[in-house]
Amino acid sequence: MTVEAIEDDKISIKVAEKEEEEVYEEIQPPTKRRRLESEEPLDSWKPPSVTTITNPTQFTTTTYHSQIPSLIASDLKAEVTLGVDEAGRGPVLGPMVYGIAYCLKEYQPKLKEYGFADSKVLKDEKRQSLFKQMEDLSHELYENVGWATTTMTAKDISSGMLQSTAGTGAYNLNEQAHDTTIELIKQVLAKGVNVTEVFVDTVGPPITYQNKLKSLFPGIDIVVTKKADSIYPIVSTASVVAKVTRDLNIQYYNESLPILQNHALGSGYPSDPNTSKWLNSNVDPVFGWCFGFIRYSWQTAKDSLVKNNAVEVIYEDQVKKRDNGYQDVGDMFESKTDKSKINRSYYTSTESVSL
Amino acid sequence: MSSIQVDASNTQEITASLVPMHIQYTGSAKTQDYFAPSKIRPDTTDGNHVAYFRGCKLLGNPIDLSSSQLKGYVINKSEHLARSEDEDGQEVITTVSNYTAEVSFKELMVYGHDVPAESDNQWSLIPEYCKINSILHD
Repeated sequence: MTVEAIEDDKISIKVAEKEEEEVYEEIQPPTKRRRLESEEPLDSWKPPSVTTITNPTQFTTTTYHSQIPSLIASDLKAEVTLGVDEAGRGPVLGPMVYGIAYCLKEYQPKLKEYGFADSKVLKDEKRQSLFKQMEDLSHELYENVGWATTTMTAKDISSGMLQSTAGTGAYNLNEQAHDTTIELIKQVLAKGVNVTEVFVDTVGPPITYQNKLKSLFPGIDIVVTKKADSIYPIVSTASVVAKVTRDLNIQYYNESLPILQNHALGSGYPSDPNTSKWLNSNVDPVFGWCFGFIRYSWQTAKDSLVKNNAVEVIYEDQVKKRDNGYQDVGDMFESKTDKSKINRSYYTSTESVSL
Repeated sequence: MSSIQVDASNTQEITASLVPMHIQYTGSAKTQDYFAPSKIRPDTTDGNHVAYFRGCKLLGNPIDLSSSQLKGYVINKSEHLARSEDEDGQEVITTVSNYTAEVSFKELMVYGHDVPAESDNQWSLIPEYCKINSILHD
């Protein structure tokens, strides 16, 4: 046990107020002038899935639901299509965001016209402007598309994966992903939305996941597939919501948290040179990094601590005695006489008793 | 002779935390930047205090030392050599330790990883030891 001296003091950081007066401008082909203007901090717009976090410095996992779009709410019996995607599974820093989007079944093809496509081919600005349109009260998308996100913080991901064997044991990322997705779908159903088909993008094996969802939601058509966000526009919509929420969540902390300010964090992927540079050059020897922003459970983070001479820490689980069981059955038949501490010849001659 | 020096008027008061891992380090640390912000106080009195260390969730129970008329100190050890004479009048050189109180604390937070530390851990029993002690000696 080690005694740590801690001075208690609270740090308060104000949440950037949502800018209500933001009005959507028709997207025009970007002219030179517009480009020049946007060279200042790109845009201060942030989605409510970022701005409504009440205690951002505590890095608690949060869920945000949009209102049920008016065209769905006006006829709750109408069939609704729902898409699921995630953003930020691989990165070593920042949250992992699960996004869902839903609209009337017959509206889905229209989403494509707005440009909802494979999120990887969309530019950041395009994704943000699409999300803004979804949140613009006067826009067609606003009354058609509902969405929700769960922002699972690095703090909760790590502490789940690093759970003590004294408790429930490690909670792996796939389980965390599935549980969060299931919860989001349940919440939408609980609002009375008649979801009849669900499309899910996955990185893991699709069939087992699909069967799991089918057993939980009988009566709903469920399709789990890789690259769903390039096939189904509603999944693209979900991916836009998830990706923008993650990016702007990171941007928010980058701007407001003193230990992250003025640092180029990069995309968060270990392979990103900016991320790697920041991660490796900002290691506190005792604590590592900001408690809520880094996934300590990632091998990249563990390696970085060692590489940058952070203090060694020995965890309880490392020193716990393991039950070695019976080991090799053959050991039971092994002669134990040679291992005996008693020297037989001291008491009796080997000749006198034959064994 | 080893000695412990406590300048009660001069020690700063801090919150002491006992974490369920061995940190192979002695010295000051930037707790204010990295540890204190991770703490969450419970909403109810029987709830656990929460803090995070290197991605691990810690659940804490505070031990109130002042209610047992106790005060905790973080002490710093320094060693030096001293000459003295043994029974035969021979000069011997011995190592003498001096302990100086750096900071003091009235409350000790005992953390466990994911689950609270067992209630009979050596630290949580301090108030009980003191109670027994006063029954025996007073």
